[in-house]
Amino acid sequence: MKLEFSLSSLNEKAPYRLESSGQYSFSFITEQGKKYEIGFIQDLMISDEGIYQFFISTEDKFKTAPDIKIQQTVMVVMTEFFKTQGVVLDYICATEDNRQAARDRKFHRWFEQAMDKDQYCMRSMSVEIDGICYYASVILRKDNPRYNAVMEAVDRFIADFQDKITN
Amino acid sequence: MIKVYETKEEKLQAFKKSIGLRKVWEDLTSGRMSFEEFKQQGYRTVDIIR
Repeated sequence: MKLEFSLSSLNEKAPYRLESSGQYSFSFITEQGKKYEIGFIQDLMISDEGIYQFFISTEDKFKTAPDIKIQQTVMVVMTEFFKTQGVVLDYICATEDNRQAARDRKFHRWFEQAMDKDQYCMRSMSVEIDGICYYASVILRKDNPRYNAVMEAVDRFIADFQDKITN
Repeated sequence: MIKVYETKEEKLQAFKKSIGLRKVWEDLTSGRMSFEEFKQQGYRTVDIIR
């Protein structure tokens, strides 16, 4: 399954101008001067095709005021991603500063505000491994042809890790 | 094809591999790993066209 993004098409909708950093990620710079990178890497945990892990990161550690355009820009990319019916997205929040729970809440909020809940399913879990709590979610369209198979696999993962789940 | 794991331990290792993709992402975006190395190691991503 090949996933293609057209920068020009994304930039017709995104409030911040998206640039391609190499062939593998998007970047944008906010009005407050913070640069973000967004990207996807195929994740083979559940299936050998069609599942991508989503990343958003910044090297700029300075604090900035809330900025709705960041959410809107990320969700333009997300909407484009899900135009392909058979894809699945997963993410595992970064843990390096122990703010993974806040990141997870924020992404849930972004997703719920921007996407039609009737069309998507999001399964989430938090798992403690080696003393670190990881927040992970899987998102897919409800009309994904592999919906049942993927959800069963995700639910089996969650059930098997139940003893490690912290909330 | 959906992956089938025989044991919980296999599943845990798969999850840890998935966690490890963040390090790959950080190496790629920081320039510590080239896109060629990324592909050679079997990783795949999306295609961005202009």
